[in-house]
Amino acid sequence: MAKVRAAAGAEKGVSQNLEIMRRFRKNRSAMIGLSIFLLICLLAVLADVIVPYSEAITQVKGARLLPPSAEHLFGTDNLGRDMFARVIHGARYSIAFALAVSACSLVISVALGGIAGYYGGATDNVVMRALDVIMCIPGDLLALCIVAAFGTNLGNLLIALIVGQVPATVRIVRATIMGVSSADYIEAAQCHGAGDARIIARYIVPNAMGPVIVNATVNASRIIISVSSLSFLGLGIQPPAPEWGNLLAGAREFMRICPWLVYFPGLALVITSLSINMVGDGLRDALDPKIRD
Amino acid sequence: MSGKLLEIKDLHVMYHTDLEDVYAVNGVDLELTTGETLGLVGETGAGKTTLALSILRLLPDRTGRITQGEISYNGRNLLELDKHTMAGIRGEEISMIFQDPMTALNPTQTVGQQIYEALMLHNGQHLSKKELWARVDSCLEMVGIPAARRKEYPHQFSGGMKQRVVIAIALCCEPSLLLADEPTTALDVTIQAQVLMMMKELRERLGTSMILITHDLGVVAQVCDHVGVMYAGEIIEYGSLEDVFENEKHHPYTTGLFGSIPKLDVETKRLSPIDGLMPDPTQKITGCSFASRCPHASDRCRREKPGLYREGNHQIKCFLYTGESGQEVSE
Amino acid sequence: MLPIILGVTLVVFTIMYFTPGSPGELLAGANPDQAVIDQINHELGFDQPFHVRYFNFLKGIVTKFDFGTSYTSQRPVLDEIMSRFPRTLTLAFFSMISTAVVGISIGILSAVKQYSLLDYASTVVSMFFSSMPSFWIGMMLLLWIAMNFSWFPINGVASWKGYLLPCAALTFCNAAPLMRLTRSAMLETIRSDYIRTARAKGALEKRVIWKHAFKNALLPVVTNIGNNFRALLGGSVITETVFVIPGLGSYVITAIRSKDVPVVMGCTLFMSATFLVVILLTDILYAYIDPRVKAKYMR
Repeated sequence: MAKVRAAAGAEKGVSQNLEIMRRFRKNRSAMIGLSIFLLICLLAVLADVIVPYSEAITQVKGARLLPPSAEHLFGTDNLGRDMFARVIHGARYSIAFALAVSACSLVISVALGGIAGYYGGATDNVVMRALDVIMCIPGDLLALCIVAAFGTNLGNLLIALIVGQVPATVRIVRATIMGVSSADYIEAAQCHGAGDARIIARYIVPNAMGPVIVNATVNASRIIISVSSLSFLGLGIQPPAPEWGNLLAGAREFMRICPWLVYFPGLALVITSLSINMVGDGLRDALDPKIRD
Repeated sequence: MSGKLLEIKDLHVMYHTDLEDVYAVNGVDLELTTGETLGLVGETGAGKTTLALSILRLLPDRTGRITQGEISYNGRNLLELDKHTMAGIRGEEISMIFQDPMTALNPTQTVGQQIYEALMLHNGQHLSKKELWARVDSCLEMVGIPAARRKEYPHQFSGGMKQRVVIAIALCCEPSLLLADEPTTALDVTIQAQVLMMMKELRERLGTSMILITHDLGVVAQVCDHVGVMYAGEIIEYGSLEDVFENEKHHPYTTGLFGSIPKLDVETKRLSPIDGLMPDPTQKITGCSFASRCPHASDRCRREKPGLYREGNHQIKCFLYTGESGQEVSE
Repeated sequence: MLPIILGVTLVVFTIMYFTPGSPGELLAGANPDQAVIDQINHELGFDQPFHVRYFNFLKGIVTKFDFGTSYTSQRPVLDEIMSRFPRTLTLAFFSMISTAVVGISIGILSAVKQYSLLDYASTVVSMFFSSMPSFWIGMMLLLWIAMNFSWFPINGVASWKGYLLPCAALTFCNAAPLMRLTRSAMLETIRSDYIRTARAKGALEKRVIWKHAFKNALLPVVTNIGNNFRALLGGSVITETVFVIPGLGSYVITAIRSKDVPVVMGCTLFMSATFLVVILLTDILYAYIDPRVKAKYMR
């Protein structure tokens, strides 16, 4: 009896998702976060329309280290480049990396974690031990090693960040999938003759997706921070590209006399990752409302 | 018999969450005399556990609220006591056994420590540590667990043994009222019988009154003096064991409840379950709460709440017996 | 634990194997002769195949605790590491402690007083801090505190004062997520059945929280603190750069920039091993708190 009812509950996936959406929409901070994030995405997409890229890299001799003004909203840097243009164009790198790395590591993690979690046994052991090893090396350091060994270009940076993200994500995917696949409703579905494919598509994926998506969201904000950290160390995106970490690294020397050089890129970073975190929190609460009451 | 130990008057409890308000208990009146065992039966979600938690004032802090009513214990209104006095009553005078022994014990403390704590908190006689530990040992032995196992952790016990520990915690201070919330539901049948027998014995020895919450009518028949049938947060029928189990007149819900149990002595082709589901607890019900499922329901049942029909100690909340006036009727 | 260390050496070695260039090119000086380069490469065993080099690398570590020689300074890597490691360890260790103290205490307070002003405030503040990169927090601390109060040194760790700001930077960004975890673990624990049992026994709220909920809520937190040490070690790379601390982190960055492969490998191995030791310690602590885990170890 209980199992049949549980299976019925799992079949209700659609209405459950609607319920989650409803809870998410009711969460004010999550909605604020989402709007800020979408706004930043819009700025990144429309960066060229707002200020041409040339302004972000053109060096104007007479306009070095100018404080914020109507002409230069965020001031100018030590080479006379407009900080506003640089910060806006910097959003492109952060957003693009956050999305690309999250997406790629999500795909890889779901594949690996799914294999490990669904098959278990020896496969599981091999995958998990290998990841244990990687988990043991401090993440930023691993990324640094990869970038150092293979050279600092965008592709390698992408790989380095993905390698840093995958192990932890695989663990979560695997744990979730193992939890879901041992649930009673899976057994119930098997009892009334559902095949592997149907079980994976109709039961495991919809039920395991929640925690995995929440995790991916939280990771996205961490990726933004990682990209800028690596760039700050000079091993990420290379100057003169206006990445936020680069801007901060360049501004370090002048931070005492021109603090705006560190305020604006830093705030851009914080706001972006904050907005993503707010969305992630909202998703988590929507998926698991029991803590809120 | 001796006087009233517990008297609940017109108790209303609701749960208030971000999403909805749940009306869990809607006007319960209940009396319990010293030494009596009352069985509360009803299906899941009828408000039985909420009622018990309200007596101890252990409803979830933010969500659960007693909106109306009075619970007096030995003449004191429990709802008006301050936190400290209430904590003094919990465990010492009124204690509770919870539904699921698997999660009711703290996994990081030994069972001995957990019993010791209850004794230590209500140490009116100022016993020394050593004497308290001796009491722990005797409590464990009372529920049939060797005293040497007091140093073990809950994960080292089986479900039935854990429930014995929970019972030992509840009874170690020899409370005058025990609230047992489905104490045997999570156990398998042989263990159930053992635990029930043990509870009955202990209760008789210590003279404890008990409210036994269960949906198992067989258990009620074995242990209880009086029975209350709960439905959608109301007690719709109340009486002695004989009244409810054998009397001619019943609330239609009670009839349905008994109809859904197989009988060995009567030949029935199939069980007759009650059609439909319990009303949505987030809605306030205007008429009789059972009207939507009742085979005898009339328009009036959907409009007005039925009063009480009394026959001796037997009470039924149904228009079938209250007659035209719809008011409280005694015969 | 040993297989994991072995795995780490393999991973690090493999990655660094792909570093372009050879030690010969780095060491032979300006405009070198190809023969000289080959000679140096041969002496260092650089011309041998992957597995031989890996084996020699391992053999050096196991038999002589030799991590090779730095290309740039020509000194043994181990000496270079040991002269810097204490600073990194001090920084990471104190940051871990202050992270734990700040994160756990605020987390528990805000769970116990859920929906209070304190809860809202700490949730919002921690949200901000967990969205901040540690290097930016570091820069802000330098800008606002170190540059205004001459009591704090602007760089270096010549005295203990030098550790305060870097420690604060790491604490801010690591305590924030820890606080959130503690809060949710505590909230979950407070709602569990055995807490209700404790209340039903007549225990007062304070006792319920400290005697029953605290220990249980701490379980996921302890694991997290251990795992967090990894982030602290990684974070030290950046923090040390910001605050110009001559520790392992800033050393490894210099080594990466100058393609000093033995140093990079040595530092990475060292940090990973440190992390493993910390994980082992937290496992022991975990077993101490949770009798179920202890029982598993005893068997």
